Amino acid sequence: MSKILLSGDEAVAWGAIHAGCCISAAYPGTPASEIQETVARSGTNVPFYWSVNEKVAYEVCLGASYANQRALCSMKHIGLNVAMDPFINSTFTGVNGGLVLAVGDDPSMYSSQNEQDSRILALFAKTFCLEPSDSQEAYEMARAAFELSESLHLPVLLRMVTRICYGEGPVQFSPERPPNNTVRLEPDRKRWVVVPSHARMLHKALNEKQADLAAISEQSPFNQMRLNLKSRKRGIIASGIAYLHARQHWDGDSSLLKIGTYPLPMKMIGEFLDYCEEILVVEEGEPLIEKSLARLSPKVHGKLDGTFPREWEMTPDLVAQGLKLPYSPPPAEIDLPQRFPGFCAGCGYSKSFAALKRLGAPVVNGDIGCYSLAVFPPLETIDTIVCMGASIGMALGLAYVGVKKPVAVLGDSTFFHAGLPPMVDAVHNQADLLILILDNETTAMTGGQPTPACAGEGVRSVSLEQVLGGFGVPFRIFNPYRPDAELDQIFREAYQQAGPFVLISRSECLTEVKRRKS
Amino acid sequence: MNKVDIVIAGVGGQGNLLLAKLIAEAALLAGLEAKRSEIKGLAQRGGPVQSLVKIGEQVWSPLVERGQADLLLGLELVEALRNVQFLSSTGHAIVSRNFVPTPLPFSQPEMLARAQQRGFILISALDLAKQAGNAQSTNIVILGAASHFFPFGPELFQEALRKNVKRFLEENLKAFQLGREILPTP
Repeated sequence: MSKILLSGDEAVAWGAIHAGCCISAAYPGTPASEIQETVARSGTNVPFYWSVNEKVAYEVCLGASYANQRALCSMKHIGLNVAMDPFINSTFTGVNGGLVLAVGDDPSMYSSQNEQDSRILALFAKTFCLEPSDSQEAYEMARAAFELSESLHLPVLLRMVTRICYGEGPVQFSPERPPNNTVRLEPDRKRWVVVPSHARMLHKALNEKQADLAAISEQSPFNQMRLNLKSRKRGIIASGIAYLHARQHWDGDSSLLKIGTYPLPMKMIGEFLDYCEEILVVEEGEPLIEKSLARLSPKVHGKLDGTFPREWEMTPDLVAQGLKLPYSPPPAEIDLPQRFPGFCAGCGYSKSFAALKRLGAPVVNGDIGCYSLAVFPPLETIDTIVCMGASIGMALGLAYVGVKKPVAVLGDSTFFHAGLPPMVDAVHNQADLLILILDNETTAMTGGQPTPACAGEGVRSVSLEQVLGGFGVPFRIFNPYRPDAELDQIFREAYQQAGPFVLISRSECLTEVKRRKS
Repeated sequence: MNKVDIVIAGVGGQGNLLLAKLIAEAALLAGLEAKRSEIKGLAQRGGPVQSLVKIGEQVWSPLVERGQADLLLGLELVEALRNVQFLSSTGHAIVSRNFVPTPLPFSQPEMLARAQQRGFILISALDLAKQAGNAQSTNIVILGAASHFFPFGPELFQEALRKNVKRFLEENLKAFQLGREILPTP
């Protein structure tokens, strides 16, 4: 078969499918949503589940893995914070069927709240991590990750970054391995139950396993060392997509060490360190490789000594400057008008935000979704955005300390994801809040994945009204396309209620309507 | 060498990503390697959209270095100007006269004047797209005009169009031709 053009996300999905993956679970998040989208559209019979959040997605995969099934879990980097609880404990319990966790980091924060580095979280959990540099490697590493996961009995993290996820390059498939769909369940309480007496033993076993992880890393074909036998002057250590930036500028005069696995192959790195007089480390995210060397030698350069900036993505431009190559782009065009991203024309969300702005509440706590666009002009309505579900939790804190009726705004998918627990607190404590749920009947920002309220073949709608009714919180549903005067009255009346009150602005996402028609 | 580094600049909804895909597929049909890179998500909601395509015998980094782009394809004036740093001293900027207003009061004549100062090749892409029968095809008009600057013939772009475009195919093929005819073969 000839090569085809695939994005890194697509390559991971196909790698998993060709490795005999039996189940895929995910919560959408840029830049990783397209991994499960690809599984969904693959035309294979691999079952996929859009879970309510990343924690549940990971637990779904862990459960399947215990039953000896190969499972693919995908999420954005920040989603791993939500899934951290089961993830970190799963390295204690271990896995049976291969469990691969593909995480999309977002250096430069094109669509994210932070640029945390998932390699560090893999090492924190004491498990193995693979970092591809292009689509071909994403495909191969996804396949290798399943094998490694089963041989180590550990979940394996595949660390992607936005430019890999959404970068498209040629991929050559290799022969498929059929899925092993035979469920084999052999409960093993000493491994699967992390009560303290078991966990103490499991931690010891995990620590003992670390030598195996290190040995695999030393032997891995994903790490490659090329020593320049004629000159010891300079060496470059590079990983992931940053390796390609370095490779673009590599002239053969420097020695080159490509890193693709973690824990790091420290013997190989030590040899490289001894061989080269000066070393430049090029990596995406935190100076993880560099830190492991810098304390050994002052001849290491990278982000710690200021050769490269500590924030934002690596580029070939930065590598050129780090290598002191000629670099003189034309002057930038200065004084150009800024262009803020905005709501799609006619979006119901913008109507609700305009009404909220006219209401003039002292503080509006926002959340994660399309509606974060209401931060920008002309709406400029949202005062805080921290993380999924934080709108209600933080409004609670403000209300508890005496701020007059804070407003929390979040979308339908975000409400299900992380808004349910703080809503329980709001009702239980009868906190004086107005909660505005923007219900567009989809997960819009990430491309229109279904929410738990969506009905469909084989799934039942979890109704927002029934959930709120069960909580015993008063609510009112309105159509945001009503005239401004009516909207103002709805908001005023809701705001005058004592205790928690929920307004639901309901109108289908226009982009989804368009997508369905085309 | 056969190396062509391309930066495509526009705003959401202008067919930026399709343009990048067509170039990458045409390069693949020519037996070259191609990589492309784009940003989705929040950035796409009416904000600036930038696609990068690199083709050649061997492509390493998918990112175009500033000062190294052989082609800057602009679907909108302000966004083309915003990406001018990528253009190499021997490169060509092929830019639509299209102007999408911004929240601040900048005018199209001012942007056109700045584009001319930069030596952009300005194309009335919207007029040509309408002439071809589909106002949405401005991206394909720009592709046609740019097609002179690739190490392979226009037939590969046409083949990529046939493979990837289902709606308004005839209009798009015409838009490509009109774009190509607007510039002399270099």
